[in-house]
Amino acid sequence: MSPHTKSLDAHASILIVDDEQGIRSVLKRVLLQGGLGGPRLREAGSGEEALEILAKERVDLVLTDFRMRAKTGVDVLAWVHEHRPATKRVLMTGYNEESIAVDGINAGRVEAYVKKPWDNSQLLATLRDLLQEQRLHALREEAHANAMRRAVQADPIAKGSLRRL
Amino acid sequence: MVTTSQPLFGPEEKVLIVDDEAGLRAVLRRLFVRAGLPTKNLREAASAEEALSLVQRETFDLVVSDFRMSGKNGVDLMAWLREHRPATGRIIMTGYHDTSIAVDGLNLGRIHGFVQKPWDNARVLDTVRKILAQRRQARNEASRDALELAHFLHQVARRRAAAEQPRLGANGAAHPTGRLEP
Repeated sequence: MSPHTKSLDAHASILIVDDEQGIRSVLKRVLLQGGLGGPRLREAGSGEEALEILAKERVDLVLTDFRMRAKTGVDVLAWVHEHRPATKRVLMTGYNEESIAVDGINAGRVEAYVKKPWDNSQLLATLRDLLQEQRLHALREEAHANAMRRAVQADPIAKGSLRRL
Repeated sequence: MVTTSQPLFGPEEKVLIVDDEAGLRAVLRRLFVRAGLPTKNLREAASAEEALSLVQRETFDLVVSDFRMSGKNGVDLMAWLREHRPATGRIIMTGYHDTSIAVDGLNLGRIHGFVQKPWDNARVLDTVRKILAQRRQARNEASRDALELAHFLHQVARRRAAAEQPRLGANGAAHPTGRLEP
């Protein structure tokens, strides 16, 4: 892993969603020690709180528990899939709750599944992979927008022919 | 039940069904054809190996595969697709109690849908519909971007040509051959 990738991972905005404070702090510590998140690591104690944050802020990756009061992790991820498709989605469940994964795939279009108790290095590797994908996607979008902007600067008259600027 | 009037399958969308039981392939084939999939856009494979050789020769919009097959299994197939044909929709089908397969399918093959046997036809079609609709949307966005850029470049070229025109006209008499000035 290059130092560059490392610093990008540290600036990723990650949202941890779990109704157990203890789990959130452990996850937070694991992620920070693994170089993920840094200052932009956020947490939510419920699905509702998560949706509030997601509606307001740009989040690169959501790591959510399934079982919470009211809205479940799948509800949260289904919303993310619909409204923030570029945000990466990871679902966690307790032991023996693998059947939830089925729902997670079909309804929440989950991109990775983590079973509790999790393996730290495996969790970190999964999150790093997803963040890398997310950055590639963002780069492609940005490159396109930049190309258009430069083209407009080069020839302002042609601006009328662009719908998106 | 699906109520949208938009057809489930586009006229060019291709589907591959993978199952080592011919009977199950036939049932699935009938379901898709009845839902509007032209038979020319449907392929079948009786093993993951056969599927792998097909997906290397043709492009599919969707691959629906059973998990349990002799030789390579459905997750192996999905993992290959994820790596080499990431734009292809991926659905795994398996027996009712095989939920751990869903986890592997997701983490190794990043599958988009998971169907448990015995399946519910309407739900299978709904899963297929969502996956294909999302792929279509992504494709449309990509081609819209490309079109927009092409249109823009065309405009720039036209304007540039128009800007050159008067100069050519003024000098036209001096250049009866019509050759452009350097």
